[in-house]
Amino acid sequence: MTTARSLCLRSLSKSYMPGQNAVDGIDLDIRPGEFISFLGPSGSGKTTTLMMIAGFERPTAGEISIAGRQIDAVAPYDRNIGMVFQNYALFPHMSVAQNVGFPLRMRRTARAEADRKIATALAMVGLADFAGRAPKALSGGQQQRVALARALVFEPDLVLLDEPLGALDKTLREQMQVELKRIHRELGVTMIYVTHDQTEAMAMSDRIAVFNHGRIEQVGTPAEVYFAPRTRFVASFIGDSNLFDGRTGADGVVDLGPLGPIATGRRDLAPGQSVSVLVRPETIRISAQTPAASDERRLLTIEETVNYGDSFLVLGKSGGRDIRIRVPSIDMPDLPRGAQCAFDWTASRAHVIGA
Amino acid sequence: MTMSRSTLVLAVLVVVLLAGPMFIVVPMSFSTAPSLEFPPPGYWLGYYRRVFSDPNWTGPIINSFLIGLGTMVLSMLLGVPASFALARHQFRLRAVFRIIVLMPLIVPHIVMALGYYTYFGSLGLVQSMPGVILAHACLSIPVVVLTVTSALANFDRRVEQAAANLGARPLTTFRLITFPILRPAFLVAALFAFIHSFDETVIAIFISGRDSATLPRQMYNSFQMEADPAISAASSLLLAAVLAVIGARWAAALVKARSKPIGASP
Repeated sequence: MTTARSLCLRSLSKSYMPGQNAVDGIDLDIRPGEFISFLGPSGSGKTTTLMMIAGFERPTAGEISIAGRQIDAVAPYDRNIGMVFQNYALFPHMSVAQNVGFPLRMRRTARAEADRKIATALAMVGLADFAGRAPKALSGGQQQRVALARALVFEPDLVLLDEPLGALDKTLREQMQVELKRIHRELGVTMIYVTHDQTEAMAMSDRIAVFNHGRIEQVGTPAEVYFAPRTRFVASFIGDSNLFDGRTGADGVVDLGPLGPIATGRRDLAPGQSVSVLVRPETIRISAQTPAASDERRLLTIEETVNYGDSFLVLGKSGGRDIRIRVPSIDMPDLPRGAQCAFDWTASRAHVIGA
Repeated sequence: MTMSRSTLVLAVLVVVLLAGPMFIVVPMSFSTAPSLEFPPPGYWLGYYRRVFSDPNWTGPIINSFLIGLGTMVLSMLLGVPASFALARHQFRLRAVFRIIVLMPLIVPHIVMALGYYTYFGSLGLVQSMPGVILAHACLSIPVVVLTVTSALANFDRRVEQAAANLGARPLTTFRLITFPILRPAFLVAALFAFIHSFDETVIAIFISGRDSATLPRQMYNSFQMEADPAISAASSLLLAAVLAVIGARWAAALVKARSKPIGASP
């Protein structure tokens, strides 16, 4: 349906107040047909970046280009970029079909062709029978589908989605995630998806750009940002984490102080440096057996267990450090608060951050 | 929500004080008495016939309509752009500008009337319809600005961004999106501007001359000279006009709530 084109951001900055950059020198290449998420806490610059791509905010510095064509001077209405707004931004005085047909009307598409495209777009989002309805007569999820159809119907080069599922409840959100992925697969259009929900970004993206304080801390596949975060921020923002401070020794062994040494296998690390070691809670195993005396450093005192149904989160202390452990429910031993148990981690899954 | 007894008493008192005169004036307008008298000794429509046939009354009624329409157009032409400027743009002295625009709401009409009398006198605008329209527009602009800025405050600009994103140029966005969405507010503002002029008395007495006398001015004159019961008929008509405007707004809201967008395809 669409010939997607790649988008380039070069040292893109936006400053509302002198000396304070909402977006601070972003470089990013987005591939044709890619589904990329801008993930970050509120105020991290992800929405501002999106607004600059759409043309509603003017960059203070840097440039934006689509397929090699610089678009900084191009007005929003000439950019041919589709956008789905967080609050849908449907036109309340128009029917569903009129909303979806609006971009075609602006492009003076012939009536018959427009009608056909509207019907195709509405069918794609499962709203074929709702063409004559008023937006207000639809549920939140249905309104979001109309907004999506409206952003796709004119075959834009790029589709921007600004927290489009934020207002929906959990079940509907998951359903829409699957549907959005299907539409992305079918159309092959480049999509930029802004969200602060890390599970959503993980579930949907080809790549994730993690925003913090107006900068991109890391761009990578969901697996890369999850298992090999480049910074402490990325490690703690995406997924649940244990971050331990340590000092590198010889042969990739990091000394975690009271928690003892961990053999990370990173032989490239120079000895004597301060680093952080990320151990994901689900890579730690516990056993109810009382540990042997020699194992004392891996002794965990249980402080709290939280039952999530499919798994338990065990909060405990070892050597004065807080430890978070995720245990599948079927493997969960009976551990009352205050009990002691042994734990062990897969050192090869531990990840060293910042040398 | 239940109303306490004292609140109820207060509410009834307010209604009686505000609406009381209506219950005297309206029956009097149908009275057969040769002077203002309550309760009326009998009922007929003679005074309405007089109001609609005597040039002393029909002239001012037509004048009032023309001046009201002129005021409405002028206040909308000036008030709507001013509202957009105040609601959407940051500029130097914006707060001062807002106060100046809203000033006529606070300044006593008699003070403004005196000002217009002397100022328009030297401009040759006293006793002319354009003069009254100018003066009335000054009073109506704040009403328009208050109505339209409050509508703009609730207007979600992302709808305009969506239109731009989908390929609409600014003027097209205004024509197809902003204006239709704000139409009810514009309608209310225009009607209020009209009615503000239609029942304005003080300035009309000062600067509307014989030829451009408005209905309220004629009522005042007539009352001073002869206590003509036709005044009560004119008052009732004035009241009916105001009620019609409020009723129209209510009806418009009702129609809007029930109607669906017309036509399914673009």
